[in-house]
Amino acid sequence: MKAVRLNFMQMLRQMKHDPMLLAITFTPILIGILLRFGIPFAETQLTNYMEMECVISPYYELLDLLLILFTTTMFNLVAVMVVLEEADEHLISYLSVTPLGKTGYLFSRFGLTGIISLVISILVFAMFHLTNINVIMLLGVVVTSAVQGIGTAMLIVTFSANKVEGMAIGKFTSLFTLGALVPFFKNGRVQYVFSVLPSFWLSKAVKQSSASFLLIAILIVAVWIFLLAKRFTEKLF
Amino acid sequence: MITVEELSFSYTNKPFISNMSFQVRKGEVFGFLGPSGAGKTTLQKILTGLITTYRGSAVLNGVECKTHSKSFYENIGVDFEYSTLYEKLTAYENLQFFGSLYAKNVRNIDDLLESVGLQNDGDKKVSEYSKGMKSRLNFIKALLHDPAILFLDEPTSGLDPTNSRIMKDLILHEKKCGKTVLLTTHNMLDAAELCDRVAFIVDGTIKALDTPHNLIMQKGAASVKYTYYDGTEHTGQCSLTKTAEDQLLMSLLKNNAIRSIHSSEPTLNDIFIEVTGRTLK
Repeated sequence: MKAVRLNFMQMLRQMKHDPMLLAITFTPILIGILLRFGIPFAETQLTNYMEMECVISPYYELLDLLLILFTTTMFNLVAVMVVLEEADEHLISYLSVTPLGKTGYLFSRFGLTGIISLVISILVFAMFHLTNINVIMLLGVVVTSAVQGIGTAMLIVTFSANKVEGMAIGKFTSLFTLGALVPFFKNGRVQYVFSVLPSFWLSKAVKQSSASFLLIAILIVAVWIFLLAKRFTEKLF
Repeated sequence: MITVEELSFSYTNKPFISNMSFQVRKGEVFGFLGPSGAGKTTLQKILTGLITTYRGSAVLNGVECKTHSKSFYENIGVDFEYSTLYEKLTAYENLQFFGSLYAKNVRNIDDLLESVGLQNDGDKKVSEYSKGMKSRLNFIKALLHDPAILFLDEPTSGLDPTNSRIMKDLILHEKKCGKTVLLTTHNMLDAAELCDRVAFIVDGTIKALDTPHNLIMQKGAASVKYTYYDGTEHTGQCSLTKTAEDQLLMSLLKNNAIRSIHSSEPTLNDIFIEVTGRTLK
């Protein structure tokens, strides 16, 4: 565990040397501030202007969910960038033949980042939430979101040759979070076109307050990870 | 120290390493020689526990490589052919970090830097290092935790003659300290100088395994070439073991009429080509 901890600290040190990575970790707070103070303000202005009872407020749950998804996505993106740089410098092969090993390396990059993103998601939600989600559901959502973040990180690493490609694929995979919009805007069977996206099921879970949808989301991420595992490990080791 | 028996491995349906068997004794410098794609790196990956889906047996330090625990790496040092260093960190920071991953006490960083002439560059970022400096730093990184077994992949590649000499002396010093060294190289001169035994690997199989001296002596006799003058310059040649039977040579020697005379043994490279029918590229 000592090697895992030290290798995680090494990732923090690399972030210190890269202002972009450091900046990415603060974006959930900026988005949270915008959400917490900007959205209610915009809602007041819009309802007054349009003389309607509500405009954005029916979607507050969705915005809270997007904030959680965004937080885990950003933290995993940082891990992805560090991993791609380490792959470029052949460091992963070397770290695999130290007491850290392959498993220790993966845990120090994706496991610990996932856990930290989970904790930060809860904190960001607690500080900037627009709605009240019950604690059990909140925990379910952040855990699923963190697992989805790990799956997405694996996807980016697998299909990127370097950091630049990683950024491009990272932008593309951020579109996967848009699956969360579907249950709020589409009814009927057509919505299930997006059912391969875990964010779709997360959104359904929040909208319908049903934890069973979270299990479907986790199952889908598990399928992603299963399909990616071989290519992912070949790429890294 | 290392026992490999009937080792086979394949990335696809086609066998990549077939039925390989050999042993490496403690304190031995053992060389793997072969062209690119021969299976040397794959073999190293198996022995360092990175590939675990092989058939047969590969036992290192009493541990089957595919079922090793984390402590397996406390006694293995690997120097890859390419740089495996954090470019944004200094040499000192790199060594400190990699050293910290081991449970055992690591060697003194200043002494290691001094051993490869980098004592004045420890605070420099690795990105500012030349290729040769990175090679030397990479090498001492593998020695940090004082491992019993060293895997060295082309350790002198890209080094100037002076630094290549320093590196070879360090390898010989490690051998003297009782380390077992597995050396992968294309460089036949290095192999002949450093290795107690070498294995010629081609197409995933061992084509020959012996000491460099035995391989040279078994496969090719040394010859004697001489030149003499009798109006125009001529060249003569005979086997070193049959000089007494060469009447011309005897007569030239008797009359002090030889202009030049050289003995020449085949090199390890010649033997490699003869045994494997391949060149080392």
